[in-house]
Amino acid sequence: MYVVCFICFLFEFVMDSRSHIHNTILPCPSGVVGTWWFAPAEASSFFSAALQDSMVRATTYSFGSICFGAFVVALVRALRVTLQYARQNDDAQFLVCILECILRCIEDMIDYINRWAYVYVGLYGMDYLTAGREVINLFQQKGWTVSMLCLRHFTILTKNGDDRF
Amino acid sequence: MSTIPIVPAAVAEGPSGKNNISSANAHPYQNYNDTTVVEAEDFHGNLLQQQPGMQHEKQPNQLKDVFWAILFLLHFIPLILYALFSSSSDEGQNNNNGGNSLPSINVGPHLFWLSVVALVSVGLSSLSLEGMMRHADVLVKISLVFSVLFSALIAVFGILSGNLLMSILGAASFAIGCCYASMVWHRLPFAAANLRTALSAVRSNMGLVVVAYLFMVLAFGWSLLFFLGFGNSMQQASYPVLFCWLVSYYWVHQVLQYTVHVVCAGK
Repeated sequence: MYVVCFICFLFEFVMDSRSHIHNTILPCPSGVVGTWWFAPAEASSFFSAALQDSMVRATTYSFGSICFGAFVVALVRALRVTLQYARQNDDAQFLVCILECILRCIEDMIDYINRWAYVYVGLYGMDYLTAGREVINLFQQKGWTVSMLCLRHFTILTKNGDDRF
Repeated sequence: MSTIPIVPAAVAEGPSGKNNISSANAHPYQNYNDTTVVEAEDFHGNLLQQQPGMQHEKQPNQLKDVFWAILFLLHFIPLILYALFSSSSDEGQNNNNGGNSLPSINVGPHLFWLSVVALVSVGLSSLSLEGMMRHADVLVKISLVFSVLFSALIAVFGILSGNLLMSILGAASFAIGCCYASMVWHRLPFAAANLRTALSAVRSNMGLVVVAYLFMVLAFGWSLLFFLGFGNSMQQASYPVLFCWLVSYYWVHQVLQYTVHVVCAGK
């Protein structure tokens, strides 16, 4: 049991480490580019002023918002992993499979909205719920096609192993 | 109406409708002789005409969602206390049993493989970063075509192996992929321009990559601490407690991941 858990976590770690790097690249069109675009002088060096400022804000003013969104995803993911272990038993396999699928969809949906919401958090210093509302407003105003195009775009780029997008 | 500042299509695609961002490292304004005026709305709905050098929106110096930050920090206390009490009660139990300790787990091989996997993942990530930087636009097209062709290959493999379900699913995926590719093909230059712009920004701020690796090391450290420090306690934990451990493990990972995200997005 312990070894199985360990291997699962090992796999999760690889996925996480890959997404750390992808997280740096993929949100940039709406992220650091914001500073880089409007104030290039502040974001054109190795450890630029924009990066330092952003780092301080993320670990102080916006840390609560990060913890809030992360908790929601962690809760759903923990439920899903628990269900994965439950699949080792022979009871109600079909039901467990469907539940796991639903949880996976919910997890991906929350994770996807979170990524947009945290762009608002990073750019405007909003709290998590307000940022989430703004994301929904954005999708409603600009159309879901745009977001789905981005989703597809990110999925293609991260297809080899990282299934978080 | 509230929108984030956006890159107008005219800028992304160039004056002639084609993408003319020539240099991967150049700031897009440099390709328009610094005369481009970007019209956008700020978060409060005010129309902005922004030119190079304009400042971004000033953020309020106010802590947000403080409760969750405190909860996150406090949740380590019961975690550590449980691990400590659990290990001390194990020792007491072992002493009462005449020194027969619980079967210990040899973590050496696991640690070795964890390190190998971590190094490989760092290498792969660096390679993919470099690959995306060098061939951004080609990569987008190849990826789209590859995903469609891969569905076709699955369908063919299903037919050849006599697996009807696999062939039907492959064919359906191929058909959907073809429709999707034909629908978005004309938008690929826009996507490629977006990606190129993003990669130019990353090149201008290579510190972002260092931050990403730093947080990856932190995540690696947390995984190590979790299993080496709490592994024995987890073995004897009941399911509700185990669930809480899982939440804690993922919570810390998500916080690290989203912190990188916010750092990238922030100003």
